[in-house]
Amino acid sequence: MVIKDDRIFSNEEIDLLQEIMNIGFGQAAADLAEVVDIFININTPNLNVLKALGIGEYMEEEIRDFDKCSIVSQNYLGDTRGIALLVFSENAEKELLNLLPGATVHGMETDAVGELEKEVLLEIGNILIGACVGKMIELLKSSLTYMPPRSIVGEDFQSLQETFEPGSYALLLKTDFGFEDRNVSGYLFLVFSQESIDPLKNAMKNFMSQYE
Amino acid sequence: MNYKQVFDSIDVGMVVLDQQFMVLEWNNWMALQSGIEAGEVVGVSIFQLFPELNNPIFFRNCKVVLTFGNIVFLSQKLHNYLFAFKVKGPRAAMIEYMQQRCTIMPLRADDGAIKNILITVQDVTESVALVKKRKKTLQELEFETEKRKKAHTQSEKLNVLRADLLITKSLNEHLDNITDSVIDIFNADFARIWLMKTGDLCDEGCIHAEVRDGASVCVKRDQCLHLMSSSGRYTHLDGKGHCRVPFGSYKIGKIAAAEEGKLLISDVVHDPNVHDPAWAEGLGLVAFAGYRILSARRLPVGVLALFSKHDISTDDDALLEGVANTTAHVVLAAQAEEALVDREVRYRSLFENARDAIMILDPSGVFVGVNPATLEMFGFENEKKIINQTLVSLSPDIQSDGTFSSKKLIKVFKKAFTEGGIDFEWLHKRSNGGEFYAHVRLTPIQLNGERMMQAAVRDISGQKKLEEDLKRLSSIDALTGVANRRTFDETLKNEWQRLARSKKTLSVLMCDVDYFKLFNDTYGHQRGDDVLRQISGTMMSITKRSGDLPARYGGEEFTIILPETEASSAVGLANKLCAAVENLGIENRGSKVSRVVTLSVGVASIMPKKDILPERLIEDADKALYSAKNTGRNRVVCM
Repeated sequence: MVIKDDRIFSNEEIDLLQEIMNIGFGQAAADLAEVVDIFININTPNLNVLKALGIGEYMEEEIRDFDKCSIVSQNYLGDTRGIALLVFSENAEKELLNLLPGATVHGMETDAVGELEKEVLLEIGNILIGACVGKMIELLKSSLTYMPPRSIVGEDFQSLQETFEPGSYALLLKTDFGFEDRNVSGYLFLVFSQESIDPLKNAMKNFMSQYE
Repeated sequence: MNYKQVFDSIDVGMVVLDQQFMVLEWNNWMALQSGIEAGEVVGVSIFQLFPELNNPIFFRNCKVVLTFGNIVFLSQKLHNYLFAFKVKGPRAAMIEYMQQRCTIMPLRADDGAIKNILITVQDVTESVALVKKRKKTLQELEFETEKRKKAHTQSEKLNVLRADLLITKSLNEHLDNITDSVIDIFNADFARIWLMKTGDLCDEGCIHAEVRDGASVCVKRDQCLHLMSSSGRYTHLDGKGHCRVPFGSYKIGKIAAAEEGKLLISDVVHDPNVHDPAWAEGLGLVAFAGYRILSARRLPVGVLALFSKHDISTDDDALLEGVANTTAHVVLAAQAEEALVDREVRYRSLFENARDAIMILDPSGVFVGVNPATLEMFGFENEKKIINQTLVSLSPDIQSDGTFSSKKLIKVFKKAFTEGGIDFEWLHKRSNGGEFYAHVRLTPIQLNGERMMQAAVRDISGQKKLEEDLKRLSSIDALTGVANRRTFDETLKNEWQRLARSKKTLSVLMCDVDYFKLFNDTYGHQRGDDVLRQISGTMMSITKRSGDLPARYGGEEFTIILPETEASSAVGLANKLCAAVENLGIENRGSKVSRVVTLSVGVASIMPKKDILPERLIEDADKALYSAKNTGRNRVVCM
């Protein structure tokens, strides 16, 4: 389902965007460690241009190595528009609960614990997505606003691709990350809509011009 | 509305803090909830106002916002330290705290740098209450179901069954529920439901298909009763003899086919209708009851049947007839729904997946909806780009026959509406300006009660290309492979008009093979044809420009059209041609001017004008050729 289409992004542009994201994510990881004591390793992202209709299928294929996973999605809009998805490995919530010093499950009912864990995922997901996307957007001298994070149940990616125009293309980025001190790993996906492509190209041009 | 007004009138709490967490702004909502006016809080630390906020997570979240510039969404479940506002109004009798959802977001200075923090507080007490209420309602519903399970009397149980059948479930689940209930309510040994599947021909291996004679012969092979549900002693559905029963045979098939709505057997061991009495006796079965399931038009749909170890009372019989009627409703409703869904799905998938572009237009030709193939065909990214446009915008101004697209479309629309549909060929335009031929079918349709036009457009540019190939083939002289006379005439006419406009010279060579008749008489027509082919090949190889057209004029006469060519260049080319033909070295003993085959060529050049006919040029070239023939052949003469 992966299409290479030069009309949308040239290979050089893909490389450059990949590099910008790599820098952004690196800074995000460093700042997360310094500012809020969250230590994550994040890999070089991988970029693909897809037809919007193929996003669901592509995602299902990409996360096949997870039997069960928890997904946090967050829409963002501004000059560029898209969705960020954070896919956590199973049981991530329990590990991540410790990242919140105030939260305790001691003496809580099972129901309540489940909901608390969901909230933890949303909050950590919110921070990670905001940090990674934010740094990247900062490098591109653009700005974004974010919708509240949601948790996706049952790996329902169909509803995801409905966010995009059926005939349109989407720029899809995938990277894997892990927490240094915890047994939690996962993937971060950023899906940019087709109308983001021109603003992204412009932003990249401006980004390059400061080195010329 | 200015920013301050929004800030104050909005139904959300808003607090702006500087990076040291001092309050800079405080809107009306905050004043209302806290009872502290804005004037009293500006310059005060937020932690002094709300000590519960002074905790590591709130602190961390603010740092995240300042560092990354993103928005942090907080929920009270995780942060039980949010603003301690009490719920106001009637519920205030009990001290209750407001359920909140907060966001922390950055406020930027003009240069884009993050300067302040904005905290918004939303009262979600109501929605939390609703969620709780929903949960409670669900619990109540569960309780209700429990109550149902405890229903005791037959009629109570039947009411429960009827109520359950109203819930949206799959047909199979409903049928299972019915047979289970029959077992429970009427204390049957086993109960089954068969449904007819018309037109479903026998599978290989259906044991009834093998029966060729006797009372149990399978007479109507296209009307089979399929076992859909079985409860009680037998729950499997795949028994060889039972998974299908032929219409009209055995008890079940007879019930389905009979005029009588039901079959009651009070002594199954001795009744001739029971084909295996020993089996019935062995199981201790006493009675059998079978009921037709009928459609609204009183046509058989299936059979509900049961065996029991006791007599079936008249009361039970009446109630069971009712169950069969209920079953009919369930089956028919499911079938109707299935057909509807099927149609919907089919239409939708037809529309979505059709390779032809399908468009819905209003009567004035404006797009109302299009399928993905339309976007693909015309090169549009999304539907928005096409909706509210007209078919005219997807067509060039003028069609290939010279008519205006807009005028022609009005005509075909009218015709389609009056005649109920129309097919025609149309030249379309893609969003990038590229044109292509399409076959268009217009069909008037009713869409939600409104008169609309459906247009199905098929790209036939491939087909057109084939047609052009065919045309090209028909324009070629079969023997020699150069253009034929028809093409020559057409090309000459077109070039004449073109060059008349651009005021350039058009030249024509008229060539004749010297002593060709004698060649034919000496060497035979076969060799003669070979010579013509060789000369054609030579003509093609010396005319290099794409506009030059070598053609066979007839018999052994050839011609070459040379657009934008002055007489001197035309003569030069003619000489080159003569030399090349002579150099072919084809022996011609009949020739009086050479040992080999030669050409005589007449050249004519003219600047075409509208008031002169192109035939004039041919006449001139003919005259020149005549002169070449008369002055010794194997030469070029120019008029």
